[in-house]
Amino acid sequence: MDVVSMDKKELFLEQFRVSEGVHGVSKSAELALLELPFPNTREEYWKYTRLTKIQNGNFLLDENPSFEPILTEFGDAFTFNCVNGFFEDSDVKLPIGVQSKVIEEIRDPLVEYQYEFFSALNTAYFTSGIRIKLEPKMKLDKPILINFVSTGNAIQAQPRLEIVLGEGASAAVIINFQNQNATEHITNVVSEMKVSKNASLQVHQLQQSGDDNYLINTTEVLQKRDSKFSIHTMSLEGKILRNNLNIAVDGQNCETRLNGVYLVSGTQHVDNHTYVDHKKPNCNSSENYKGIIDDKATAVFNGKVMVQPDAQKINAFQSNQNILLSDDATINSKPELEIYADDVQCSHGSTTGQLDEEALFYLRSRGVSEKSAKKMLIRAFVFDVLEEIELEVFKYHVEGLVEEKFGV
Amino acid sequence: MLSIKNLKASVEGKQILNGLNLEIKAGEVHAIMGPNGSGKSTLAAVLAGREDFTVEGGEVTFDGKNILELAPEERAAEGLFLAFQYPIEIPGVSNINFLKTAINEVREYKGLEKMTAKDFLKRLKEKKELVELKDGLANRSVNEGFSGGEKKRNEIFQMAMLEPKLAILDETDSGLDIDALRIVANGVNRLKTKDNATIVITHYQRLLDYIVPDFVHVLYQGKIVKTGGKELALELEEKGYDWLTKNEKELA
Ligand SMILES: Nc1ncnc2c1ncn2[C@@H]1O[C@H](COP(=O)(O)OP(=O)(O)OP(=O)(O)O)[C@@H](O)[C@H]1O
Ligand SMILES: [Mg+2]
Repeated sequence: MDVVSMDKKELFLEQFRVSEGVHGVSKSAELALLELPFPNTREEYWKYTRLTKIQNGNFLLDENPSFEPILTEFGDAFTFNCVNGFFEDSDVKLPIGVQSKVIEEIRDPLVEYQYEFFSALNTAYFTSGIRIKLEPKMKLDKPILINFVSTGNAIQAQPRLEIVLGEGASAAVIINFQNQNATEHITNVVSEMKVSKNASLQVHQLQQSGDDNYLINTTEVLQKRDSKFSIHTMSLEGKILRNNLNIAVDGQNCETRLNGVYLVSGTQHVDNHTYVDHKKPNCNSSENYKGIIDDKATAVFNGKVMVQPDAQKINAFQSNQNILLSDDATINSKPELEIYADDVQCSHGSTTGQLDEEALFYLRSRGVSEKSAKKMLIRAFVFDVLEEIELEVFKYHVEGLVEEKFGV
Repeated sequence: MLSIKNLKASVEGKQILNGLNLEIKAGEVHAIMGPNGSGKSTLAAVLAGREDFTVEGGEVTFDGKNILELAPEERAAEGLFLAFQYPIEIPGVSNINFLKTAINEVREYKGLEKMTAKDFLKRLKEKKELVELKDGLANRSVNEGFSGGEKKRNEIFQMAMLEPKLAILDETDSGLDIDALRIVANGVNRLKTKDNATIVITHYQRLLDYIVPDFVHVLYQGKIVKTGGKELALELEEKGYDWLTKNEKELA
């Protein structure tokens, strides 16, 4: 590492350090940060995502954020608000069998912070965190809603979330990244989800943290036998938006579903890195990401499915499809399979195209305006991904947003 | 209603329409016949406003308006309708939602209020019955998984819903079984008024037994080389096109 880049990394880290020092896992993460280079495009993991703007940013901590009432379209939910990285003291009435606790100290993290700069950064200096735990067999009748709100200028937020489902428990979670006039804001969040035997977790992420802001969102999932996990990631706003989604399927008879829609325009950059690690036999995983990229926006999809040597009888399906609405739009798509077992069924594919001209003409020839026709085709393109969202409030809200985004 | 004068059009540098003339008045039914590749679908596409085709010359007025300057949706709003020879499938776009949008945007173009849900449903029911569209088809994605005949019937259903002034049916009869042919033809006839007109492009005289044309035109090498009454179709059925095209070939 040359002196100049070391200085830059030092300067960057300086903004996050906490004066009273850190301990335990956070201390190890702090030490790891000394070794890890600031992510750059020479690394495979960051090949297409340039972070210079983040590296050169001056970020401040907002220690006393104001918790104004947050309006969402998600109806009745167990709601937790986190503004600029700080969770509001919660007065949510949770049913017996569900607990929420402030994370004072990180224990047994799932995230492999030793290898990844931003995970280490969060693990070392997280601003605040909560752990939500469902006792065995607990089933929630309303979703858990986590609002991550960005507000103010050049603020750094590093929240941490843990969701633990006991055996046979089930829950739906909405993670809502929301913007309130923030500029040059960075959120670097780590979420960890433990899904025990027979449990079922549905996660819905809506990413609208503002086109002036950065979001690095790392999600670590551990699935035990007979469990179900699904995640729907809708990326709409963000100057640089990076999702790291790592799922370890560590038990037999698991179902895993990863869906994503990204709609980007202007000079937005969205990057989805997903990793499904099949460690045990007899599981199904299916991944479907679709993107619409307009103007000079860029999207990156890197989806890897690993099938470990003893993980026989795995069905893994992976697909990434993109529509480019302009000549200057870019997509880098790389689906990957790494298979060490012989009795598996895996398929993957990636396509990139334009809106179907013939279909556009057909619709217009019936009197539908070009604008509406495009909207219909865009909606149709992402239709199958949205169709799989079981949580209706989330589905309807997102459907509306898809139409709005390209409704101009 | 429609007046085409010396229309020339090309695609990918190849001239397809070579100075075509055609006059259509309200209340009339015109049949266009002609060998494969003579330019029938090209004429339909140029009229509907497909951008792949370049108009090299001539003019087309529809109710006095130069439609060549209008976008496809504006032509539709002016009352033009094309039933495609090969209707495409559009997965994920529902037939009904799309028709609702089409009807309302046409109304908006004309400065009319949106159609009420009640009126829309009424029209839907009426028109489904008219073309005997199987239950369920209207609710599905546009043509997705439809049989060849069902697609054609869906075209006529859409025509019925949109109530155009001038409908161009491009080989709507091909792929239809005898019963479907009768139903579709019956639909077209029942929609006929003294204010609208129809162009039927077909290869088969049989359709013209059901939809009786006032004029039959023969299109050959991008031009209309003969025009007659409905008996011309019978003559073509018997003799083919050779006797008409010989002249043109000699000239070429
Ligand atoms: N997009 C295109 N690119 C190149 N050539 C085209 C294109 N569309 C049509 N043509 C050519 O134009 C000519 C006329 O085609 P058109 O489809 O109009 O014929 P048609 O009279 O409708 O024939 P058919 O009876 O087979 O339907 C043909 O030679 C065809 O190959
Ligand atoms: Mg044709």
